[in-house]
Amino acid sequence: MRITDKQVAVLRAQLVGNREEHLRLADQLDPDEANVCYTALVAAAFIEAAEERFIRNGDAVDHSEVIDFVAQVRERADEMPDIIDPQIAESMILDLLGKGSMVDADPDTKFGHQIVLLAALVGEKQFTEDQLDAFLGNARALADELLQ
Amino acid sequence: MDYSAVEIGEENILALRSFLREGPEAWVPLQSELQKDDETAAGYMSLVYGAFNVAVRRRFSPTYTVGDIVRFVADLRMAAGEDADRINTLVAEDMIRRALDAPRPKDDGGDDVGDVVRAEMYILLYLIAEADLDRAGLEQFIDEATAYTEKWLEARRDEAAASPFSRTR
Repeated sequence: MRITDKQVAVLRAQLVGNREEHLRLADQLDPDEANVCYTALVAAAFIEAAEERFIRNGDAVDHSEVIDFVAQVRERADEMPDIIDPQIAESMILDLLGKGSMVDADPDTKFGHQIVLLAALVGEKQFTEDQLDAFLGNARALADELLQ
Repeated sequence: MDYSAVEIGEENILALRSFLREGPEAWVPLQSELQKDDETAAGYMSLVYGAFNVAVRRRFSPTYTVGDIVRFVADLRMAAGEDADRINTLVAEDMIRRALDAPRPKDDGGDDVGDVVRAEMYILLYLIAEADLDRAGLEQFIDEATAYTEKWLEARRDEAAASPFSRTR
């Protein structure tokens, strides 16, 4: 299986905050494909974005920078502290950085955290259209690798 | 716990003062006294709990958002350096919300006693350092914490007296 243009378009719509377009395109995804491929695409995009944000000159940033980032996501709105579990969110990032291991979480919870953190990381970057396409291109290539 | 036997005495106030000035190590020499019996331990812990509530209410008055609580706990953990993971974020946030009578979170982080005690100690000491109180300010804070705790214990005693299962002593 490989990532399709349609799956990339679904994630793109989500990351630019076009909720209607995201839902319209997501409805068109084959459920089996969505489960495997879209999940892999989101995971790959999260890895790309988190490594870009938290690895500098080959070194992982301090734990405190990860705490700060997760708090920035959680302090934005009253409902966010209930949506994002700080221990899960921090451990997902620290795991990627080789500074700890992922705490137990069911796949839906993990996916939900990845999407919210990814949206925050992409939001911070303030990508132009071209930069976002390039970012999604890299994520797609990594997702294809993950699916092999 | 039978709170009718718990009282706040001079030794509790002295211990709180040492704790606020010197940190948890000030309590090491008191270890055997603290563990003498449940009521004695409860006297010390009730006063720390009262101090925690007073400090939290002072810090988050007159208004706050849920986001302010999230940011406060994150700053506390960042300041704790390598000890950051000793502070359970959800437990700490829930304890602050409870002190402020704010709506509780969906996940309160569980009821591990160690998590609760550590969060209480770290938050209290951080708030005291942040407030940068002079000698008179610290004494005023201790007076307020003592009054708060006595009122809290009185409410627990009233609850116990009203309970059909209360023991007479």
